[in-house]
Amino acid sequence: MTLVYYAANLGLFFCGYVILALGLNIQFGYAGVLNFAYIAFWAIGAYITAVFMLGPSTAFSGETYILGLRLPFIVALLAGGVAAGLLAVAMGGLILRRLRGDFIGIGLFALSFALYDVVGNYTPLFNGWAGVIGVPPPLNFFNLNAEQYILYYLIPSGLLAVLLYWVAQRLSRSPYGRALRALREDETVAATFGKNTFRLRLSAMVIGCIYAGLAGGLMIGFLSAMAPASWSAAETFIIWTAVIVGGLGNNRGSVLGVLVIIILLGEGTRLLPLPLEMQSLVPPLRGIIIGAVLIAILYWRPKGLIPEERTKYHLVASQNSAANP
Amino acid sequence: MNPSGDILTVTDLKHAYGGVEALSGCTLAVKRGSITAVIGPNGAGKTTLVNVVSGVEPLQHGEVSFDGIDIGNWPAYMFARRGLLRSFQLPREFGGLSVVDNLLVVAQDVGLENPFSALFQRAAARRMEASLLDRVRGLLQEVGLFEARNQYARELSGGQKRLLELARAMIVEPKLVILDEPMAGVNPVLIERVGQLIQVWNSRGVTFLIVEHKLEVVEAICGYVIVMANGMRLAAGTMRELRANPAVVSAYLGVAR
Repeated sequence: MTLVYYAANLGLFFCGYVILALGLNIQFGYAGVLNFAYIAFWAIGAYITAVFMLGPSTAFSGETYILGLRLPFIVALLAGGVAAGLLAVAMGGLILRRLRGDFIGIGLFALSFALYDVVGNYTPLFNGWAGVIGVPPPLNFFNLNAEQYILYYLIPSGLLAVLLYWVAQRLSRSPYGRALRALREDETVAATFGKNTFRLRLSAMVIGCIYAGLAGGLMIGFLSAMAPASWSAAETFIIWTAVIVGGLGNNRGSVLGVLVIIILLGEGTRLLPLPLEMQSLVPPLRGIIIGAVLIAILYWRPKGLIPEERTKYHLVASQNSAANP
Repeated sequence: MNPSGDILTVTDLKHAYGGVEALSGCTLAVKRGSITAVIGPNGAGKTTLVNVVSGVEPLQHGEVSFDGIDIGNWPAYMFARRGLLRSFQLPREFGGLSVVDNLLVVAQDVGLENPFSALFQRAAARRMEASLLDRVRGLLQEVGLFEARNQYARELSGGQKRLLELARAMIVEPKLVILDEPMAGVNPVLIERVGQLIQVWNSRGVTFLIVEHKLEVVEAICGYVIVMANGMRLAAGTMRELRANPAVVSAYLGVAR
């Protein structure tokens, strides 16, 4: 049975990372916004969900955090998504208004470090470097034991991932998605054709960050703790890798990218036949292998495993208006 | 507005990059319904003029009025919405979009261009697309890109990209189109074709302002020509008049011409 629970656990990570990848794909795959601060929005979603669910912090527990509202998970999860969206409005409003292209990535990256240090050092917020712990398993109506619960939690996780996939597809195949792609291709030209580029980019960033926040809120449900060590900058780039390898601009690609990078390579490297004393080499080897795969994809298949779809319109030539200048 | 007057007037426009003055008090006007050319030596300030007039670069000094309205402080996206469009020296198609999507994306209803409509107003979006696709087809046939309609724009040849840019400008039904060297890198056959298209669209009421170095094209299609030099208007008139103007000949046309 352990294998079942191991697989279920992987399934939970898969759902969480799929949501993360879909959100990043909306930002970068559709709209071309370089968000190198992405994981921070996941963390904020997790923190806010946690402090909405937990009771107030008490002096003798030694923990300090804001709120502590003891609210139901659904409310807390939505609050996590909203908080990430609001943070995106603030950070995006600052960075996207004046900067372009690569500088957006650098600006957001820098801001995420500031945020990281504030959350780590200002303990009244989210208990500093020690982090928020002991978040109760959400939606546990049936008093399931830990192992049963992992299986059970696959249901809400899967439902949320499917729902957000569906939303991402609708956004993609709409006038909005088309406008975001035009913006990605050439911002100046998009502006000369009447696109409000700032608003479009900011909206894509906010939607993507809400995805990240919801993923964070969902994942705190089975992680039960969140501390700065879980959201270092490196975590952002593993999601980037999944989205790029899967195929930018394509939601199916994002899902496949998570499967290949996070699950297959991330977990598969644990099974490398290394002698016991060399097990400590696994994490760095994992990094090397994932990096090599990313480079190989960029070199040989730069559009990813499943490239972006192109809408084909059914247009029939009319006879009378053929070229008659 | 005065239907027979000037669609665009530029008054005392000054623009500097660092210490270098690209426009130093440029004043000119474009007549409604005309095909007007701007010619002049490299560095005369032609592209800067286009950039400021089309909102790509902020106005530093002077006045720009389009259709009787002062547009100096408009945000970049307002220009197209009010009917002023421009092209760039190098083709700048939306490469990762199909040819059809290149046209749809600029013509689509801005009111449907938001996440809410994407989720909940799909029928309206489909209706809008259906009505636009008719015009898309007509324009693609007119410029000769119908066969390439499902290709990525980046896969087109240089000349096809020019045609796509023209079609993309025309589908928004503009009042004034500013073309920055539309004939650059275009083969002779296509030059004639582009010239004809401009004349056809002009006859339907679109005003064109064209920055161009190929003087035979200017002579063939532009009724009015503005000569710029050193960031100012040097002279204006028909090409024939300009050839007789010694100041123009020495600044740009040269004796050989």
